[in-house]
Amino acid sequence: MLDVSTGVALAAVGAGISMGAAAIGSGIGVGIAGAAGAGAIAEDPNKFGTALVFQALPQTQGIYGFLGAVLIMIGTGILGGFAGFEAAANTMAGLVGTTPENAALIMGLAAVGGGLSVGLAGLSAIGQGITAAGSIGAVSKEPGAFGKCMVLTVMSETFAVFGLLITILILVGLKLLGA
Amino acid sequence: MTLEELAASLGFSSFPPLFAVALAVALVVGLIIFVPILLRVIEIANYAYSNSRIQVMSSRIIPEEKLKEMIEASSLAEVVAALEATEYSPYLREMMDERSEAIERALNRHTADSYREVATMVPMNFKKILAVLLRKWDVYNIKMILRGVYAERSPDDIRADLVPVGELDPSKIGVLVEARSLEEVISNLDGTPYSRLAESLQLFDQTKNLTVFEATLDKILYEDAWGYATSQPLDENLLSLKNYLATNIDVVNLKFVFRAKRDGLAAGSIEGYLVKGGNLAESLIKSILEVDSVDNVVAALEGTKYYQPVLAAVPEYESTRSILPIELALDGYLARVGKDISITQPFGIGPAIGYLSMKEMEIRNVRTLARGIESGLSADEIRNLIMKVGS
Repeated sequence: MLDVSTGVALAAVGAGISMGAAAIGSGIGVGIAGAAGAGAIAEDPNKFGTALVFQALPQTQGIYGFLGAVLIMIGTGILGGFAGFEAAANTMAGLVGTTPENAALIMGLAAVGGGLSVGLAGLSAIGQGITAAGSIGAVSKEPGAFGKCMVLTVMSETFAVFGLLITILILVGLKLLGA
Repeated sequence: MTLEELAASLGFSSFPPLFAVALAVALVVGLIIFVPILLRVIEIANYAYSNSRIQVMSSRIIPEEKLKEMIEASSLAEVVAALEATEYSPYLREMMDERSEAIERALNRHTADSYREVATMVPMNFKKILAVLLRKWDVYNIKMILRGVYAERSPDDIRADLVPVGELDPSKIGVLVEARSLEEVISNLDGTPYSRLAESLQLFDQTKNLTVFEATLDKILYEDAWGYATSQPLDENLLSLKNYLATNIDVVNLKFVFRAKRDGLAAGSIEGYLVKGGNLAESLIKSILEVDSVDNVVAALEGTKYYQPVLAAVPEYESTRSILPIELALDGYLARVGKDISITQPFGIGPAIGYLSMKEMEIRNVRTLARGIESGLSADEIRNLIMKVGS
């Protein structure tokens, strides 16, 4: 016999994956770009501005992960604890015509799906960090390449945005948000 | 079908165990995909710091436009003034006089410091590869010592011409500089990779030509380096090193063959000096050795990557009958290969190879420029002596 605790646990896992996986991606990406930035600054402290801009880019995936986790927690009601989740499960059960236990499970799995989407998409920050590191080197050598290198580095961001978008669509589509 | 029914149909008592198994499988698959990526990322991260520093150092290499301005200088004082705006500035301040030799010494000291800096900042697994590249400066130093001792220059004068970087111990260099005869220099090389130079003593005694030693040194340097590059399990870095070394060997061999053919030397007297290895097939080298003129060497190169650069230099060779334009074209091609490696492999040894290659070109050009201006050459004449990155 299912109870809502499975759904709560799954929702927590979903929020955790969202933030955790995206943080791994951002952490590695920022680390690689930071190492390149430190190298450039060691030779020329005036490169700090350039290094900072490129190092900041892979951080956004972490922000998307955080946003995804907060949306999951709001949508599933776990910010309000068990009572909040139960209330959300009851509302969903009424909307889709199923039992609260099944609704809780659906909410939990939706949270896991949403968390995986934005969390795994957040790993794109690793690639972005590598491009940012290359760009720091390239711009240090040729300052005129700043704009072009910025465009190349921002490209990876697209996939993180898609990941967050899918998370939002899952939550909205299942009426966990905006209902 | 509900989730409970799905779990039951797959032999699970309820949905949570099915979910746990699915999660475990996903984790294992994820790890299988993620671990190789992570290893590659760690490798890239190792190079991020050093390569970024090297890129900044590369940005300080004197650009072509600045070099063009310097060629127009009417005196060495103007050259020194132009160099004051570059990273040579602190080294130039120690100059006692404005002679091309003093400028060269400043360049040498700066080069040694830059290379030492690169050697300390690169990741551990690259240090061995870099050591192979820096041995070029050991050979340069030994050549300078041999020339100095042959010309009976004082140890202090010889020491001033050296670039104190490479694999040879500074104390060994000190001993070599103090030697008073070529035999003494060569006997002091015992225990180093260059001890094989002793085999050339007999030939030198017959010819009294230092080229005998210089060609042997190049042979030792590149054959050892080639042996190292071809004996290691190939990874991306070693592949780039191998490509760069192969071009180096081809360029050294071709320059030697072109000079020999201009002087009308027979195949038998050249063959022993050629470095084994490189990209050019042995059969091609043999056929090149058999031809009797510079033009025929050029024709024999058709189909190789050296043909177009050399062909472009032939009109100038024909008008001046000097082999220099062809040598500059080959060196320019080598610089292009170094630059290309730095672009195609930004997270590996690429930037370091590119930097070493471009720095070598810069030093050579500034040296040529300073000597040219001091000897009263015109801007056009100096321009013809300047090396450019090949296209």
